[in-house]
Amino acid sequence: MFVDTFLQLFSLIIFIIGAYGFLSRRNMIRMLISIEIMINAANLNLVFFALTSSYSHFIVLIAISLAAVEAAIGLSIVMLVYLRRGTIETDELKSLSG
Amino acid sequence: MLYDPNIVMFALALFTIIVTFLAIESKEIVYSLFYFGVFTVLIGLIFFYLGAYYIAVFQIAVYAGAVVALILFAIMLTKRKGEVVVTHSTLTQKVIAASVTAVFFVLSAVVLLPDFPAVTFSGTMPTLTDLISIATTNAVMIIFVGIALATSLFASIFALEGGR
Repeated sequence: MFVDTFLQLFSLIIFIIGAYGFLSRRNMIRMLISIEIMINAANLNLVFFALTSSYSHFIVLIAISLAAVEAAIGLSIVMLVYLRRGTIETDELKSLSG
Repeated sequence: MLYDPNIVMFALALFTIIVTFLAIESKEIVYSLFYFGVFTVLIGLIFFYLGAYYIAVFQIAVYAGAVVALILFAIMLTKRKGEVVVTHSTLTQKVIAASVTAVFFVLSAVVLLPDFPAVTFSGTMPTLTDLISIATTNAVMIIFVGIALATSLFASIFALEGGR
């Protein structure tokens, strides 16, 4: 019982650190790294909850593949923003705010 | 068994939390990416420790192999605000790096070779037959650890040669 609670608390701490990084950073690549940390915490939590079921393993495999695709698309968006605007700091990208 | 599995899990979790915090708080983004790579490998070790072997393999292959390289190329192709100043590391930094890598190696060895310390520290000296039986039963893991160690060694040598 201690191990279950501890593992869930651990994944929660990892998720909170990732959320803090996503909220506190203004560099788009750092924000992407924080998103990846949060996805890893979610995968950990899913595996912790279903240790005996192999069904959750396939779900986590699909989630890992989707996270890789998300990183590729996010970084291509970052490159496009950099080529058009010359910066990837979100504080300096204000054309959408009206 | 020499060690308590809960203690190993606690040490892995503590190390992962520290590395995650460093990945968020590092000033230079390349260092942040390096800590993120260590974080993904640690998460893979935790998956391995929990018995999810396929997820561990996919985690290390996809995250530590593909995503980190992808983010590294994005960092190289975009301009940063500050210039990177490469200086020689001090003794304190070397000691810290050596302790971090030592802890990382011990945790990896404990997770990957679960039967090895129990036989070695059982009170009697292990004979050659014991060692051969351990090596044959854990051959895949020993080869895996050896490849990882050789890769890190060659990578550090090439990094040092390229830095001069």
